[in-house]
Amino acid sequence: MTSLKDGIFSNRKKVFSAVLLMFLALFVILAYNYINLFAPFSGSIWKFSDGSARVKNPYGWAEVYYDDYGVPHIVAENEKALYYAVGYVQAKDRLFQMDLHRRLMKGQLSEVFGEDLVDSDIFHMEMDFYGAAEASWKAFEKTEFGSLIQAYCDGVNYYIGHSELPMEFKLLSYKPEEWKPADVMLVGKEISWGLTGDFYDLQRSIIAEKLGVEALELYPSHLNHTYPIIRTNKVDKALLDWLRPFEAKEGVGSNNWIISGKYTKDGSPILANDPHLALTVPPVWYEMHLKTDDLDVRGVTFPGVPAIIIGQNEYVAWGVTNVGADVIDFYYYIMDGDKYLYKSEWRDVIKETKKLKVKTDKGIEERDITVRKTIHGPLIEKNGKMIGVAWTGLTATREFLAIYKYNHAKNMDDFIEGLKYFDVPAQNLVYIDKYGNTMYYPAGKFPIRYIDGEVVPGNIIFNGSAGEGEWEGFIPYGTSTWEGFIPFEEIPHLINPDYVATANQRVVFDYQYYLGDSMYFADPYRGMRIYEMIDEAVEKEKKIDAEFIMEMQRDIYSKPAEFFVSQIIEAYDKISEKGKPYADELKSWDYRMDKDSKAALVFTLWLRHYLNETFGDEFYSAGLDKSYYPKVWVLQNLDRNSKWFDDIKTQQIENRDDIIARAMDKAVDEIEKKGYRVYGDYSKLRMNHPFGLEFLNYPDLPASGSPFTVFNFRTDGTPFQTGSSWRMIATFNGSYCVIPGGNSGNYFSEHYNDQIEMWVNGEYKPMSFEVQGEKSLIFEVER
Amino acid sequence: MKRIIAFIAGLIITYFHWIGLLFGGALLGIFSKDTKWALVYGFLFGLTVWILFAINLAMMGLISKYTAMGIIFYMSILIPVLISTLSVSIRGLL
Repeated sequence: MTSLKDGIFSNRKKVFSAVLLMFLALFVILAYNYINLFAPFSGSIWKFSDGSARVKNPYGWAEVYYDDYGVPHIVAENEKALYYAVGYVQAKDRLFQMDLHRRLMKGQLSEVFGEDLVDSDIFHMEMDFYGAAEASWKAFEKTEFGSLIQAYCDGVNYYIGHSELPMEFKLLSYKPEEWKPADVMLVGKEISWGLTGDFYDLQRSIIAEKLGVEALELYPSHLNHTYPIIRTNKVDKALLDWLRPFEAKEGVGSNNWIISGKYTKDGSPILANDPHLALTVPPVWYEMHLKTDDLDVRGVTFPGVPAIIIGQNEYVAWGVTNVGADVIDFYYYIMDGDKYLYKSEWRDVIKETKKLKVKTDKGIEERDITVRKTIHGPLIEKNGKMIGVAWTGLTATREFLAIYKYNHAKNMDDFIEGLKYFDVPAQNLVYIDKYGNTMYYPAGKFPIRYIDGEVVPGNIIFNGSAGEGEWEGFIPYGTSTWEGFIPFEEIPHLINPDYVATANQRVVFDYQYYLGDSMYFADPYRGMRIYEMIDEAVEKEKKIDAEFIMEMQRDIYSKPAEFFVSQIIEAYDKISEKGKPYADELKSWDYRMDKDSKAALVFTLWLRHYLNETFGDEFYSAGLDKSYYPKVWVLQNLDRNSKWFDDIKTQQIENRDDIIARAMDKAVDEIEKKGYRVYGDYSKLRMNHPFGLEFLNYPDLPASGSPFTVFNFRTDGTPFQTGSSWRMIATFNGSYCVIPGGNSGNYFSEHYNDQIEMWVNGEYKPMSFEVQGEKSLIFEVER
Repeated sequence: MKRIIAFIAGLIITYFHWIGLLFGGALLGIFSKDTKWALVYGFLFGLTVWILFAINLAMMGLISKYTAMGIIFYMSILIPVLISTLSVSIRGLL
């Protein structure tokens, strides 16, 4: 009896154990990838490159010292050894970011992230940015910088082949392809597109079509040219809606200024620069210090690019802002199937089929994408509507040669020699040198368009079949000769100005060539404010130093607030009883967009509603959203009784005061509904990693500043935020800088976001030329 | 003594590969006097692995980053505890 009981008990135990073991086996099988990733100690996610290492270098010895902010100081015996080390170091700190941007521009995101990014991939494949990057490399390969680019790529690839990949690759289960010289060029194309790839010409055409040609008064041209025809029906709104997510983003801009030694404390010039780009995790810029016997340069570059793009060396310092010029044109054609008419001759559209790989539940799916091109460039197609695109970046461009020459420049002549190669994106370049020289030069390729032999602006859609608006000497995806562009010497520039400030505002009055219309250039508020501060200091004979420039870069005074608040006060009697206490906040306001200010909150939300209440009725009725609204400057200068203030949905005629009052009510409703107390409750820095994992995001922080203040920060509630992506003050007696985040893209690094609070508070760290920190990486000669 | 050796051997292997969790758990199961104690030892072994791992990250100054990792943090606790606890059940088949 007992043995039977024992037997049953023993069998039950066995069954119980077997069930547990089956459960264990099931867990291991189902969670196998996760166990390999996350198991304590051995999980691959816990392995990262952040320590010291000895690395073979085929080009010579090099040493890397990381300073207190994770900035690599790279010292090498020659430039090839240097660039090899730069490649290794950038891959170590930013490899996932580099690969992500390469995938974006090559149209390979959906292979990793799935269906949601198919449209982005199709657009980037159709534009064939990679074809243009290959053309650039072909033209570049034989230059003095070509072999250095190759050495850089070797360094990146050594890292990919021999070191720990960043955690993002492990989570996505893929390994990056090797880094090629054309990939370096592609990074340049991405930056250029991000700054100049605007569809304003198409937008202008749609506005004229939907709201009537008279609506173009909201988008004035700065030229006296009255070329009247904004051709309609050549672009479909659905096509434009599809394209717009891929154009240069709103809010991208920059500030820079230089002040000659005449007005500075130590008698030598000062330069300030803060490019306003997307605030991303990790930051768009990577800071480094490069040193050989012949070179000593420090500043920032884009990960994937080996040379310093903004920075200084022992002799010169330079900074850039976007000119914002119109360097993109659009063409329509008379089509017959796969042929297009061009100057009375039928030509075949050049077609190439490319494979788009898309990650799906069933694995990688391959789809055919047809890339079409005409004589002008890519032919973008959606819903049967086609539009040809010419963009200065879609040819072999030489901006990296320019940058290489900047890095090596010893004086202004050397620098100007480099400027001649800066093709795209056209940049407002400011320069100072240790000899006391200053310079402003908006370098780049600016196309000249003709119709029937007459120069015309580029803000229209051209008849490509008639050969209108073509750029002479421009060969898409080839090597251009550029004769149909504004000659370098004729670009308006200033040699040794006392001071000059650029903030993406219009370059010059009454210039003989068209550079762009008001849609291309920024509202002038930041430029006005910078000049105002310098003028005041000069007037008071204040001797300017780096501290003063820091104060300027921290300036949060809002020029639009100064102008609009007086209009609000004029309309005070029409404001409701509910709105009046909020309007009262504005009466004693100092117009500073301080995160702790209630008035700044009221003004910001009021301005947003004011734009909407003024233009929303007409625009939304025509199927155009707020992205089509004109500039704030245009709104500010509308006549009190302008027809745009009248709400077309009401019987009575509204004027400016009515709309101001109505916008105040809306702002108050929003403030009360969302429980905002001060500006910082609304103006929050939210820098999110593209991966969507919360822990990879930077901490949310209340931020002062606005799109119109020198201390620049733009948020509109969407995840896309822009702001000062790098603040630099360069002198020859000590320079200062900060980036929004940290220099390392590796989550476990102490430099992942160690500068974020400094940045949001307007603080700086020294930008020293002393090699600092511990020796972390040693590159030994390969034998 | 056998259980101590099994415990240490499991820890050493786990440092290099997670198979050590299976190995350590199985040995502890085999050398335990009954199933109840086997389950306790297996659980403690998994917990010890995790605690040592957390201490290691703390010594590297990474504990706050680690605990902020959400689902990854919880997975890194679940994996050692579950695998080593379930592994002891091998004793029931012997």
